[in-house]
Amino acid sequence: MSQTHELTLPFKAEEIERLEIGDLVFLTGEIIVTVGLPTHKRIKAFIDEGKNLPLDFDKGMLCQVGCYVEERDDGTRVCRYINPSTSTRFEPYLPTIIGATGIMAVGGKGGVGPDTIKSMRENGCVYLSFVGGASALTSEAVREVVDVVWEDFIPQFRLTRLRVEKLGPLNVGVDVRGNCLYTNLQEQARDKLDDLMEELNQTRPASP
Amino acid sequence: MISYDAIKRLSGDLYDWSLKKIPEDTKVRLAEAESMETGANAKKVLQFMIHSARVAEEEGRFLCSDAGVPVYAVKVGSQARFEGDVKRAFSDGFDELVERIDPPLLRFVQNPLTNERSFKGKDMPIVSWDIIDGADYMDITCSPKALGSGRWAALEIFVYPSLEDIEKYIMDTVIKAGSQHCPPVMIGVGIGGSFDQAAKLAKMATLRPMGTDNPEPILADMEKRLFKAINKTGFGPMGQGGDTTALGIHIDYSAGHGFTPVAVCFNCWINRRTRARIYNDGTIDRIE
Repeated sequence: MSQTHELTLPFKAEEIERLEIGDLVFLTGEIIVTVGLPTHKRIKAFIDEGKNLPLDFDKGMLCQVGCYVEERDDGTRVCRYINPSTSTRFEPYLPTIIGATGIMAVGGKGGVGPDTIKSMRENGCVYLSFVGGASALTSEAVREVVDVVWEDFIPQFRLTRLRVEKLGPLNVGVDVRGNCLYTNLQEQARDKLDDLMEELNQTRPASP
Repeated sequence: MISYDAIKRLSGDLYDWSLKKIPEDTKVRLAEAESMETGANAKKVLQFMIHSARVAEEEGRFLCSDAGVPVYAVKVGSQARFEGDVKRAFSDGFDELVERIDPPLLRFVQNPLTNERSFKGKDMPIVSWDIIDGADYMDITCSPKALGSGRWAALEIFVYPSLEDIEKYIMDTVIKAGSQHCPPVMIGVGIGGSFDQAAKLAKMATLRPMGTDNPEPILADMEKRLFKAINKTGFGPMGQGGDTTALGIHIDYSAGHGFTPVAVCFNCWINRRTRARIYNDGTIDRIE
């Protein structure tokens, strides 16, 4: 039976291990977001070259989430929205990032590819899927823009640290054991296909 | 006369509105789905979607900040009269919206040859044109498209397919997309005609208001049966698992020549769509 969890960041390994695919999660604490492919590429390049990343990823969460931070005249920064993107686009970079940074969750939508799932299993990391298209309500969880780096990118691509309160519901798409909700659902649907086709054939009116 | 300025403003507004409000028929279908969903977490996800859409509409915020690219279906009345450039009004309307919309749009128009992203590009906005004989207005539908659901569309050419072949292809395409396209989705299918016609039929089919009957009895029946079958696949809202994978499936066809293209496309659950008419006397009628 699926459960609902309230977690705080930085994560504790035992809490992450407890998550099962299909569970719902609400998060409180600081997350790192960016929706930029070039940003992920740069993170990987920093890792490959042994350079220090400008933000601390350890026990944290990296999200393929677009965020627009507005800088007001008085110098304050306001997050106008956050919104998830399709995580499979980032497949070339995620396995390395998970392996090297100590993040314990990746956030986005739609799931991740096989290499990322393998890396998650090896490194005790989970995938948490946002509800796509629900930017208005999802954004209400943002409490503070903590840090913005790599400002040479467009706003949504910058590496941004946000403090959130009860962010969610997020769906556990991949657990630390490498179980993947989306692969399972697809296999289950394929298994049902013969029966569904049989039903379609049985109910189809005879051709004139 | 329908002026360049009026088209420019209206085309920009239609795009703006489509980013902040889901269509009324889609709200109704989501509410129905939520009341019938048996998966506990799937029900929670549907409730979150419905609540978020309400907040976006009430507060004029983005439903989804990935605004896609602007796509219009325009029908021009044969009695409509114009003052100024019509095609340019659409591209200028988009340029003007980029300047005025708040918060700013993601820079998302991409050149597929160089991967450069900007607010401008060849053939942008994407507009398809049609004629309505006798009408004294221009009917404009805006239905933006982004990668999330756009990438799962598919087309295959069959030769004298049976109805079973067609339905099997639709089911295969649905299962391949899985839960990647932000379900529950609106599915459009185009059968026959030619390569380009089938794709256009599929896209236009997604624009037909939900709850309206297909005038072709064979397709009306196919829609009902496929709707049930697709919702038994079990993907559920956002791949949460559940009974609600599709909001609807609309199918259209054209006569053709034995080779039968079948095109399938998807709109994510926010089903972005707005529509208005602009008349010769300058009146604007916002339809949705």
